Amino acid sequence: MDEVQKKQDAELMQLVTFSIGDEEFGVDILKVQEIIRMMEITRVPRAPEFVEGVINLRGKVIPIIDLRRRFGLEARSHDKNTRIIVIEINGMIVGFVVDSVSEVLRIPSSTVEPPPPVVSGMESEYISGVGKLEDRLLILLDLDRLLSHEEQETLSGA
Amino acid sequence: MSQDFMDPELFADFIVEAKEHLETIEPNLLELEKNPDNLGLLNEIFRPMHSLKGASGFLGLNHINGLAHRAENILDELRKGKIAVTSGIMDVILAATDALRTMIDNLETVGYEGEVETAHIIARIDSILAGEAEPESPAAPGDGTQVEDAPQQEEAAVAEDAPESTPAPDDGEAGGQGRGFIMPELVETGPPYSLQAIGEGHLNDFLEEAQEIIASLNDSLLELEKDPTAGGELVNDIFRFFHNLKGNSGIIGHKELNALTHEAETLLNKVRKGEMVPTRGMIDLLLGSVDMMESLVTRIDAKHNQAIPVDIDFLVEKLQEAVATGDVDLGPAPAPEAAAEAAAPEPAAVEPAAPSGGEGGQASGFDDEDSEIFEETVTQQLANIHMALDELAKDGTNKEYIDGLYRSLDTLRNSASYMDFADIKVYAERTAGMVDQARKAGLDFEMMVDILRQECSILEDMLKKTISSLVKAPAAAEPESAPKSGPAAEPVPEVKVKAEEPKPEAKPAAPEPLKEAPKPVAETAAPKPAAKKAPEPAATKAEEPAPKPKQEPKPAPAKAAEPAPKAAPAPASQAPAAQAQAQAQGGAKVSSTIRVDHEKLDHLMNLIGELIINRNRYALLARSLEEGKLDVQAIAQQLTETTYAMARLSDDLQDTIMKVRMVPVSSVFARFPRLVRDLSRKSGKEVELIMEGEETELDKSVVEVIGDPLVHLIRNSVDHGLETEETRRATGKSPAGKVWLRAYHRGNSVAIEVEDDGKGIDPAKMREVAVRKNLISPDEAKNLDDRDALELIFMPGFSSAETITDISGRGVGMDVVRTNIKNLKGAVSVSSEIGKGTKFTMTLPLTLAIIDALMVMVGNQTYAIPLDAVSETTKIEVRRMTEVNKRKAVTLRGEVLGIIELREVLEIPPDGDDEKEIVSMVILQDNDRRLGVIVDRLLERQEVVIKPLGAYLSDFDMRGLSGATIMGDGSVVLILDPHEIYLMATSQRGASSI
Repeated sequence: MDEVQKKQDAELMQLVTFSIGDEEFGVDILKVQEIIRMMEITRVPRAPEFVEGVINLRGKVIPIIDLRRRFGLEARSHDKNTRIIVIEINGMIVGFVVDSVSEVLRIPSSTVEPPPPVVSGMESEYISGVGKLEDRLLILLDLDRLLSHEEQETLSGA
Repeated sequence: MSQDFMDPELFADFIVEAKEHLETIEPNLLELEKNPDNLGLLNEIFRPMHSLKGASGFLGLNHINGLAHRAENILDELRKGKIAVTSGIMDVILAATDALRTMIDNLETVGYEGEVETAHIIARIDSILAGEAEPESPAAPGDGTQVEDAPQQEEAAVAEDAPESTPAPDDGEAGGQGRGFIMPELVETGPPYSLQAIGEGHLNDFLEEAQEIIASLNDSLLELEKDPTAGGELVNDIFRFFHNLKGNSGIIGHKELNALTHEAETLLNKVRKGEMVPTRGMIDLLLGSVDMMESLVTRIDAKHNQAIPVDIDFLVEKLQEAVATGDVDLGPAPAPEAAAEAAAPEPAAVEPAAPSGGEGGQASGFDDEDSEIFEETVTQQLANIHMALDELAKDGTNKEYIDGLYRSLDTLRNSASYMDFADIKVYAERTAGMVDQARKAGLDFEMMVDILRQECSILEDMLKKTISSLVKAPAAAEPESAPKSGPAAEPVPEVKVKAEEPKPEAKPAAPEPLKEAPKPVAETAAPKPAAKKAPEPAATKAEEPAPKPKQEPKPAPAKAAEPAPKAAPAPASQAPAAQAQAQAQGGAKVSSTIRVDHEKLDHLMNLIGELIINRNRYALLARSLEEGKLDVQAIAQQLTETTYAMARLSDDLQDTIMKVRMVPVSSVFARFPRLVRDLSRKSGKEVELIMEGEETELDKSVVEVIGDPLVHLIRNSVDHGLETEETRRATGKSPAGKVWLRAYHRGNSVAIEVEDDGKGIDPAKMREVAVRKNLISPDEAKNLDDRDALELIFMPGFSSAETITDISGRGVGMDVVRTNIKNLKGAVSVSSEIGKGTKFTMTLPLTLAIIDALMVMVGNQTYAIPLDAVSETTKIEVRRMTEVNKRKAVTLRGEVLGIIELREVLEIPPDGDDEKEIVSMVILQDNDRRLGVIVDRLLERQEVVIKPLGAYLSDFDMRGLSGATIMGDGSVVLILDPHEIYLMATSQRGASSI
């Protein structure tokens, strides 16, 4: 705790946190364009399983990725907490379906540790680090990797 | 040199720039260390280093300059592959950049370079360079005999420009081979300079007009070629085109373009006056000039009002020469030939075996004739430079010498650029630029002499090094003695004995005319390796004319060495590449403006007016509703009316805007006569191009991008499609092959066809090749019908050409064509009949943004099918379906129609599975083929706006889908790609299909 206190004024990371299953995740707030409620999704035939489909985001057609399936977790039907986090990376706009969005957090970057080899059964390759909060752990996602084509191929092939 | 007199602003700029350069260099260096083979990286490093060197030289920052210069040298060696990238070398270069950084930091903080130890770095670089350079020169034997010639005495730098002595006799067509004009490689000769555009859009107007003029020029010249005696109007037209272009380029201040058009205009003027008769050679030259003009135009950066200078001197020389001599000489123009003949006595000593010696001399990869001329020029110009500098040191305002200096530097630049010594070229150019600037600014050169001397000595070093590597002669050749004795007209042949074949040959260069220019410069030239001559050409000519087809007439000795190196075109082997490049550039040009008929604009304006009125009407209705003045019924009535009006307006707007965007395909077609002509000459096949429907209009964005695919198709037709003349005769065809290029409307799209009457494509052979190349399995091949077999031509990696030519046949191309067309939401197909010919048909949408579509339902989702691919919709009874070859089919009005279920193709899981007795079917038309597609429900027809699916999804296999659209209720509907649906349905090949 002391340590956290000390580095309080060190570099802070601002994260949007959300949950999938029992895990809590965080992504850099600067990459998040907006968070929207679930809406009607048009399924795209022959797309990989984790691509849920496309939606109309104010006149733009953007693909929606189900993070559960992306991580190889069991699918779950959408409920009132389900959200789409719209993220822009390298000019590419993509929406991620998550179970729920929790809050916006500031954590000192010093509390972030490199990812352990395996986090709750999910390969650690999409994880850029683990943030230690007072009572829980926060998994920081590496969005670039998550969207890299290579990864997609191995995943869709698997 | 003190930095006091520098303009502080210039100085600050330099620092900023220098830092940027270093910032570019460093990461690239590190990258290079990881990938030592990446030559592109080296260029990335070389360029900024070079700029740094140049800029520092200009500012007189000697330490920086010296170090950057060394670093550049070593980078250049690396770049040329002469030495390999090792960590040791990288260390040195990094050390050099560190030192440079320190010096530049010093400059910024304290205003001078500071005491930075650069000597040891320079020493290390020099030792690396030397270590490499030494083993090289002796290793270059060159069994040819080379002769030291007397220095190429000729006019002093200042006294030149007195050419035009008697032109040599004309000996007919260039090389007598009917070879086309060989474009020199485009050489950018320096940093962009600003153009003067008046107001916004001026430059764009210029560009557009220039492109039109160029297109017209190409047309007219080709016409003139067909009928050289046409004269009159045609020649006048061409003259006027050149004249206009000249005027326009003059206004914006494009120097190169202006100069080139001026020469062309002069030439045309002569033709116009009947003083000259257009020959094929002349037209080749003019076409070459037009190409160059086009390149120049494409190199104009309209955004920044800048032009990139390109070396045009070669063409200018040629044109001037043509004007002077009355004919065109396209060959490599070996300057000294005429002279050699004139100097008959000496060449007599030449041994007949000379030609073989000639081959040996080419060790360095350069035509030794070229090298020799290059050397001559260099020697001379350096001499001139030294003299001019000496004079300027005494009197810094002597215009004559300043101009002479500039000219010499410029000549060096041209020579270097011709020889492809980019670094020398750039350096010479920079120095020349400096002189030019200073002379324009009216500076006293006295104070510049020191800088210039330094620059020139660097240049000299570079030249010497290059030349020594060129001739690969033992450095001990003692050239010094030769030049000294060089009184102009008396050649003092100094024989150099080469390793293998001691064959003394002597040849004086250009003796007579040189008399007018006694050479005071000779001494200064002394330290230079003297001009070296390998007199083969002359000998060859005398003994055995066959091997060298380039005995060209030359206005000969008049301008002697100076014009020669410039004039010599690129070696033949480079020609195709250069030409291909030129064509590629031609293809890449896209002008971003559009000309609109004023009437259309007026109409648009009217529509906007109505739109505003309509908007007000809505506001009025809203207010009436609020106030409750009118009853709801009446308001609803008016609301409906207003909405109708709105619909009419938006339709009209859409139509008009689309019309505005439409341009005739002739703007693309216009360049093909030229292309076909060039292809025809290159392949030796007589080809007639027949164009139809050029007035057909297409969306501008489509027209802009179909150029390249069409070039591919046409090349393919000429190169692979058409047979040679003999074969054609043998099969009873007319000797001249025909290629048709047609455009016409077909429903809601435009079709463009490229058809030839050549040998056709053999489907059996296609199957065989595809199997051999492992593109498909033998089983798959068997299952392909003939038409599908032809489609194999579009597969990546497929090239059936037995002989790969430089025109086409590299196994890329057709798949690129298909991809390009697909990106336009179009399709391309092929049909062919063996022995009769081949036809490629591109189908393109009229516009990209909006299409008519038929909405269908599959599963619980709606899909849009572009309406122009739908030939009809119908319902059929399930029991009428039969199975043929495991595929469903139905007989519809006597025609057997293949059937697929959209659900299956799209891999949509079945739902409900209620067995229907009657199913809805959309009949797709993919060119001549039809396919029934079963859907759950047919919905209405609708205009849809196409939206891309986005970058993320395009990484996946999205076959069958061409995009998405958004419905009135905000939902997304996917648009199907009928052509791919067809392919997916007919091929059981799955992912291996195209």
